[in-house]
Amino acid sequence: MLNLKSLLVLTAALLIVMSSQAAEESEKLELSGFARAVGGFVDTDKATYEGYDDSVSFSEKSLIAVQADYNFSSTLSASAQFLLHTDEDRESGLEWLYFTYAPTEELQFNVGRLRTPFLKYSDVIDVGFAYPWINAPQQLYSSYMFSQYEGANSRYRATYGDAVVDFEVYYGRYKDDIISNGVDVEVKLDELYGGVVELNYGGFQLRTAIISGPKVETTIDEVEPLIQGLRAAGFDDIAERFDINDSANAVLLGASYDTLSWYVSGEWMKISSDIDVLANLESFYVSYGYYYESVLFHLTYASSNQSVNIVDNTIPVGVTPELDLLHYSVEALNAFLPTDDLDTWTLGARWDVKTNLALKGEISFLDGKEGKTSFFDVEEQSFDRNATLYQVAVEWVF
Amino acid sequence: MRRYTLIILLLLGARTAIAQDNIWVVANVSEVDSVFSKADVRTLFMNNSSTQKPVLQPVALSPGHRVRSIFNAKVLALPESRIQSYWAQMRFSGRMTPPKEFETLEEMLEYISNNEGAVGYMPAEIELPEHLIVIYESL
Repeated sequence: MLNLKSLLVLTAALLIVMSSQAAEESEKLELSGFARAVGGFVDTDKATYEGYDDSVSFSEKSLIAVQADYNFSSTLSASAQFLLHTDEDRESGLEWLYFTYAPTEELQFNVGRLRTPFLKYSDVIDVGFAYPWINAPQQLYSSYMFSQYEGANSRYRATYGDAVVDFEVYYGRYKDDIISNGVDVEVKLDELYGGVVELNYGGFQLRTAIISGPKVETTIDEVEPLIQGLRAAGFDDIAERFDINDSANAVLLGASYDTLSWYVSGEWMKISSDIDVLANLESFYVSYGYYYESVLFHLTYASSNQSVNIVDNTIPVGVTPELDLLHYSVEALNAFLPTDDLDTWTLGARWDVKTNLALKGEISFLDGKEGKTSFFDVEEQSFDRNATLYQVAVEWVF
Repeated sequence: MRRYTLIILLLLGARTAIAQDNIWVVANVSEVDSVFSKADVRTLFMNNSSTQKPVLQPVALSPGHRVRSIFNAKVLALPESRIQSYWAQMRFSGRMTPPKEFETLEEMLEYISNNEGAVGYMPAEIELPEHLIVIYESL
């Protein structure tokens, strides 16, 4: 039986063959793309942040992508997006592949592998040219899960007087390997769904979105032996809490106002979960930008608060070496759980040198909480969770 | 201080030059259902959406063209860089593609003239072929 993946690859091959046929076809095929080169470092050697350490690196976020859109007719088209990435934690390859059916101007259906829409820029997070920052606020943009899905969506646009309202609903499934703190985590959802409502009135925009996964199955190979050990020793309740197999939901509210010379924008989100070890995350940002000629100056405050249920370690110490091992393994795992409380001030500038090329510079003051992970990969426990991140970037669309 | 005064005067000068220019939004249609407001024009050019039937096709001038700058300032009320980043978002999220662009006014006028439903912006008082109508005038 053909699975969805091989079907996607087959379609991609078909697309390429069709697109290379006659020259008259070139009208139907549109090629476009985007690229970014991002360099940066943090001013500490006691931790890394977003892969950055205290030496300048250009390999954390740089990427190039090509998008091909092929129009079969005025209502039916296919799109594919190939992405080459320098980030070790991400795989390069086919990011998107979908068919679009737009029977009217107001209605659109997409089927295939799609990017999950949630935050204002989450479906274009790789397209740095589309937003003001180099690093969109970490507290929201790195925390939202399930970046793409295989499934279908429907978009509908309605006009009420001077207001334009876009509705989107989607349904699909998700499977991915995420590398978190150097550990390979396999995440699988047989069912993933959500919706977005966006209202635009002049320069004013209001957005709300939800995303829901009724059953998030997570496999961490390194943790499996521990879970089995706990079960064998009769600590089923502890094993149960490390066994991730429950629901996760998130809700988002956002607003922005754009004028000819300035903007304000903000987003707030809350992730709630029945998964003990992930628990709840609440985060927001507010941002202000001012345009001076072709340079945009912006200032952003972002904050996150994560509550984690530390698993009570009821395993006695000093009884047997096996129990001791279990006890300390549970301790180690508890310490590994993310507690991402972080406040940041980010000051940046974006200079649109050409209509399709922008240069950016950005300084972020990271103020975490001692004893928590605060989005850092802490290498020395004496680290006070305060650091400054410096970044420069070139953003290009073609 | 004198240098800054000069810069400010220059900036003000640039603003007035744009303010004095008005634009027309011109369409290749026989009639429109209702009068177009500024918001309708903005929605048409930014969201590719209007209640008008048959469907209108907005077309634009290339970035850097003076008439485009006036249109950006007076109707869209957004800087060019914001418009560019907006269209990058729309294109790469699979939502919409930007209006077809033309280097010169003449090329755009010819396209509108030959394509029913095409809509574009022009300097006010421009001489138009008879089958094109003005659906919006900026103040």
